[in-house]
Amino acid sequence: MTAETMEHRIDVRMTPKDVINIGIFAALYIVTVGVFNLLEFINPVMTLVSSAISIVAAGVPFMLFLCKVRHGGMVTVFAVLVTGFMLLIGSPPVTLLVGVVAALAAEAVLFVGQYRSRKLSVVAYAVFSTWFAGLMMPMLYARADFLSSPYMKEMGPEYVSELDSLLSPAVLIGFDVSTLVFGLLGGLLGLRLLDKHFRKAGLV
Amino acid sequence: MILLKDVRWSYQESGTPAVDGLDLHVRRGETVVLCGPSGSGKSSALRLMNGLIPHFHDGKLDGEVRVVGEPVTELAQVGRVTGTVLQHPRRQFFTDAVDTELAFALENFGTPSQQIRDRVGEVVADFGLSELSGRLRELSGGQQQRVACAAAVTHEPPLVLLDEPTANLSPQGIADLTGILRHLKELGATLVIAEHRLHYLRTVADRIVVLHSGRAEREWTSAEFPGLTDEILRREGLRSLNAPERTGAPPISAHGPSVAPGENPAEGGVGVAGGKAAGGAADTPSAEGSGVALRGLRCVMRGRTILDIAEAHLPSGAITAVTGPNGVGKTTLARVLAGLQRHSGRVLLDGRPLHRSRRQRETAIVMQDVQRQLFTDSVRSELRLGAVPEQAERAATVLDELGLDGLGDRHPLALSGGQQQRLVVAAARLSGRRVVIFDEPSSGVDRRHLRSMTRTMREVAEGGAVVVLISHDADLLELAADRELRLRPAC
Amino acid sequence: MTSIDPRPGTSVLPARASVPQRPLARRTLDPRTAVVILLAASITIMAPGGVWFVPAALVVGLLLALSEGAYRRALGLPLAAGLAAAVTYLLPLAVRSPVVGLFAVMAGFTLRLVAVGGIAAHLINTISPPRLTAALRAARIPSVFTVSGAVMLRFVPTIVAEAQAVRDAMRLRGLGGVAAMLRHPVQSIEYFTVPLMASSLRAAEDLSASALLRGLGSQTRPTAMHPPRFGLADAVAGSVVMLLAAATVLWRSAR
Repeated sequence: MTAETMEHRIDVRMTPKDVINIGIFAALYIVTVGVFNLLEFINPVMTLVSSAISIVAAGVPFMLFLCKVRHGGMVTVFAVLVTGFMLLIGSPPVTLLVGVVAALAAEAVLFVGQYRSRKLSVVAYAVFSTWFAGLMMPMLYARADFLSSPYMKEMGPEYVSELDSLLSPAVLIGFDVSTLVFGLLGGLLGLRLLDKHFRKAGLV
Repeated sequence: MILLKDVRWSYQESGTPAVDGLDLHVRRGETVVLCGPSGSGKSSALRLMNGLIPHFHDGKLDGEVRVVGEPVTELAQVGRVTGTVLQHPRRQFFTDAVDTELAFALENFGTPSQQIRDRVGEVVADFGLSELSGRLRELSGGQQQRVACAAAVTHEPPLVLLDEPTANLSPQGIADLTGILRHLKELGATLVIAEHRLHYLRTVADRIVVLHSGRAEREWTSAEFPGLTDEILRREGLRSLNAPERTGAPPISAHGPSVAPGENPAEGGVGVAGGKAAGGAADTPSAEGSGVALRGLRCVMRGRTILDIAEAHLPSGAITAVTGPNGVGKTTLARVLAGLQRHSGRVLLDGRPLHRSRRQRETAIVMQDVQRQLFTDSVRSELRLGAVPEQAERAATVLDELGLDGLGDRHPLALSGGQQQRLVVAAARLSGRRVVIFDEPSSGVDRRHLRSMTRTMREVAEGGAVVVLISHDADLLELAADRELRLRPAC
Repeated sequence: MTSIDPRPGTSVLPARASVPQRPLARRTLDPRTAVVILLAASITIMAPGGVWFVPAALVVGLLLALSEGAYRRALGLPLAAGLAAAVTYLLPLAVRSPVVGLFAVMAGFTLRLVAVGGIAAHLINTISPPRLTAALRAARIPSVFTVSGAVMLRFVPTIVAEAQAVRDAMRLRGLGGVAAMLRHPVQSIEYFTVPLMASSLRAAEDLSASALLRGLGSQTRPTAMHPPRFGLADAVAGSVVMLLAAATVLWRSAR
């Protein structure tokens, strides 16, 4: 009776232990994101800085999680939990959709790397991190709503166009791209800490 | 009931086998205690019986394991015939209330709703849980362990396994647990208990099996217990079979609503002052100036007074134990001393008032879970982090003194629990901390480690620091405490 | 200490305790109702033109807060919404600058968040994780999600407590502080996450071992001690939400 483990298989049959692991790492991921997002309360300008830092920091639990992923679908379930939780605390529902799409794309990247490639696992985290864009997405229609509101008409067209450029889709797309970049940084950091700490500590 | 035949097991991360040729047969209705020093394989033996080995922990298993007549193939299957109680009841609870926690296993095993309600009601009455209406995490350690035991047997398993169930219990909690074990025995359950503390099992156990390096080395039946002297147990590295007698350390001078009036038996130099009015306590022999003094300290959280100490003096150069039931503000006091907690009133060190941020730099806490305070990737750099430059070259000496020599390049998280504690102490010494607080340092520690831990605390105190020990562990308190501050609910 | 009665069974209480009560369950919404209301509010409000539904959602949030006796929230919710609305619609009229306009757009977004948040707060306050899990199970959500979701909800508070302890430990070693965080972000992330992961995963080990042994995630279809049932409260809440939605649609077409 010998227990052989840690073999990566690409089927979708998860054991109860896998399912519980998803919940545990989703919780770790959410708290890490939440803690670093608290910086935002110092002042509103910090919003962008704090979401950048939290994307980088959350790379650590995510890369730990990838070490436990042995089946296809685990990252997607993870994404549903994380974005579902965000939904429960009042985030826009679009986030769930964006999260699932991002997770499926991340799973495809992992699949290409046979669930083993270190480089592609970093890319997978970056791809997954784009779900953060979902949080900001309503800004797009909030803006449209706002600019077309009767109050704006009183402000004059000049004012409206100036505001428009400040909040242009280009700026928001820039934010989306930045999630990818910070995701790459977070993945690299996670990988580095895996080697520097968690492997030596016997946690993976 | 249980049959282990020539079982060998090694965890994936370590080369040496944790269980090495273990043979053990537990009969129906029997109560067997597995004991032995830390690392002797008693927890692993228990995990073999509930299937966590090899179905949860990764590693290599050889030999034959049969539980209730069958080999273990799946955790949920073995879970139906066993109930498991772990060291930290709080960690194993899945819900936040007594009834939902009791129902948890039954729900997962697909028991019909009505049957769950009946059975839960039965267990609540049987275990006297109906008075525990609050949230599980707000209960005392003993109450929590009572709920954990009840939750382990709601699905009526014939076999109950307990892994160091007293590790975090006060003497009161241990007495409570003893009653529960006896009750389970009366119900006809087979019990296997892995434990360091033996005294409370004296009247419960049918057999004590001593493990050494993963093998059963010695066995005593209940008929032989009276002949077991402390000397024999000490040789095996075991704690005493007699309940530790707490003579109680002399109280420090303190008074206020949070301070329990000194009711220690007149003893030593305390006798004269001990009988004074409420809160009246012995005067410290050391100069009032040296050590930590608290003046009008009050801590209010969410409108509730957690801690209220009019005056107290914690002497330097001595180990002061802070005791009292759960939720009485022991941890809050530690956080106040360390400058981590807002409060009103003043805290003075050697007669000088110290602001909170200054206290953070003068204090170290050795936390119950030391992993929370290890930040770097080697013992050496852990010591360098935050050390006073002129002290840095003493690093090698301090490591040597604390028995950590030769471990300079190891990763702190790869050390044993005891070594991690000593590493935190070493770092505190090198950064010249004047106040060192030990928060429940002895949970799950055997006799040998108890002594070395006491020695460590003693040395820190002899270096002139104020040493504060928060503990329930009567053995440790008896060994280490010079003085005592007993707290009671502030309101 | 006095000696303890060794038999827990012989407690002072009545020998046959009644079947455990369902303390909040009767008076509060079924979790499924609460989740559906939250989702409906969230989807309509966060969609284009969703501002119209903000007043309706605020009323729902207010009524829910009153129903659970959370008077502070019942007071705070309209205040916060009023403040956000003022910054969104009144401030730009007073100060004509694009930067203020930017703040106004953000406040407009905050206004939507407040409206949804009022309902979310009710859900978080009144529905315990086990009830939510049981309800999701009853709604035939696949067990992968309910089991892992239950574990996540159980574990988040544990990690938050661990995170606080790690922050304490960092402060005592002089590693904390926002200034340090901004000067050496990567270093700070390392100091924070390494102990957090190490201690949390150790706590997780006990939790998952105990849960697995008690059958969590096993093949058997789980049952519930108190199967979730819709009651009068759900009917009332449903009708109120429908009425408010209809009123909003009428109001909108009237403008």
